[in-house]
Amino acid sequence: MSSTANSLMPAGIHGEIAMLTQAMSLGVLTASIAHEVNQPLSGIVTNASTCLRMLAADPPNVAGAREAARRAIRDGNRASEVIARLRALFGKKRAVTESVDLNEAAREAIALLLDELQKNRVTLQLELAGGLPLIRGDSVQLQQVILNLVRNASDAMSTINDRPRQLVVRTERDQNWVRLSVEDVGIGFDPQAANGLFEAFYTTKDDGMGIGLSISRSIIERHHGRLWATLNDGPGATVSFAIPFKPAEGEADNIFDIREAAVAVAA
Amino acid sequence: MMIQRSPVTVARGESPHPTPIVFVVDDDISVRESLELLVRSEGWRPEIFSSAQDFLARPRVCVPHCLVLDISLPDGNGLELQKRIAVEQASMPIIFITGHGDVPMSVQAMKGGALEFLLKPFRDDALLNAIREALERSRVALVRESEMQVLRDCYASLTPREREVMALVVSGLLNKQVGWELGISEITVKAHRGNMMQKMKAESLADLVRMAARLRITPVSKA
Repeated sequence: MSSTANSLMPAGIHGEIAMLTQAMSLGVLTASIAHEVNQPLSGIVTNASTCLRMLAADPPNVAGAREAARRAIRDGNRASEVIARLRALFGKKRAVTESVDLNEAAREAIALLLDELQKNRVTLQLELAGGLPLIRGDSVQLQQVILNLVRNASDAMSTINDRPRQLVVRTERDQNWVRLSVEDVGIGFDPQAANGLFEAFYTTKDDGMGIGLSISRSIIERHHGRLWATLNDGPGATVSFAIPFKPAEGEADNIFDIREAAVAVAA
Repeated sequence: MMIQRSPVTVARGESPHPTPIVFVVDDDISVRESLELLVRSEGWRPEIFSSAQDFLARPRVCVPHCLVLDISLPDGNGLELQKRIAVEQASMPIIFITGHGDVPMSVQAMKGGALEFLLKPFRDDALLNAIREALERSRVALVRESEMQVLRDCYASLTPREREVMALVVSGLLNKQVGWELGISEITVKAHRGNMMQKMKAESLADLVRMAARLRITPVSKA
């Protein structure tokens, strides 16, 4: 990467990556990447508008218009630099395949959210099965998924005031699978929309981008697992994923890189 | 860092239509420099800054001006800068621009007196209209400020006795009563009053009362 490209890089990006490794939430990460790209896009729009304005003047300001066009091109290149550099940086660190204790991953991820849960007056109940088999995968990616599910569950209860905001995180073994489910007593979801839940840009939140679940599902699928949501008998919903703990030999190398997905969405 | 306070006056001899200045504070070079060209294309003078610090170090100006401000800056957010400006340069109209559609922030900005709150990328018309309105407000504020300065200069030229006479006259006292209050003759009061009216360039008592109100000279209550 040339020094020019370096200086073009918003200073925030390096910080973002450091935070990502500390299991930053997908929503926050993508929103911040989107912001970094939005800045040069804003420049492009303004420069192009100015260019038209200068050409429409009487007499046309050709020299000014040329400069505006040049700046629009520069900003376009900047936007793609942001993307290219993210790809390059993320690309260096390949997804890791290691033995993962899902209980431990869940505990670590939830520890990052305790303050937030407390602030939202959510009571958390952990029901982690003992002797859970290890799975093969990338623990950071799996923690991203857990963080995302727990935060979604907490958000789904933010308007609930007539009952305790109870959240249950449960792990269990089911034959050759280990399963983690996050159960809330929140607003649930429209059964008609059940299929759309995991589509990119589907969201029920005013401030959400609707990509958390879609990326989460991609991560789980690359772990040869499944992610699904059900409505509870009582209020709320349960979102679960299950991962086989004996993946077929040779398949585990091809774990999907969450970071590529985040970049692809921002692009 | 403190800003040197200097009285804002429209200096005589300057062009009656000085080029308005549009300040832009945004930490992103694309946004900053694109606004620079847009502002220039409208015939205004752009001055761009990448941080609140740099902007605050800029001396105050005496031509119509306004500020286009990014809400999230590396050295403190735009809302904090807005608060400081409200104290130090109260007449500075502010237009906020932001990359995040943050509702609580925009509410706070508008409550703090922001003129407009625009989401990036914004339409050039939307921004230019906001700037036009901001510059008009600034121009009116400057005219008012320079009238005030003239008024203050006139008042400063009065002798202590003339000021006493002025305070009593605008309180509604007759010359005879003013004389009684100050322990001087009615004739002397008339002389002071004539000089005072001339120095204040007041054409009538009503005119003088208006001036006193603008100068916040409190009427003396009758004993």
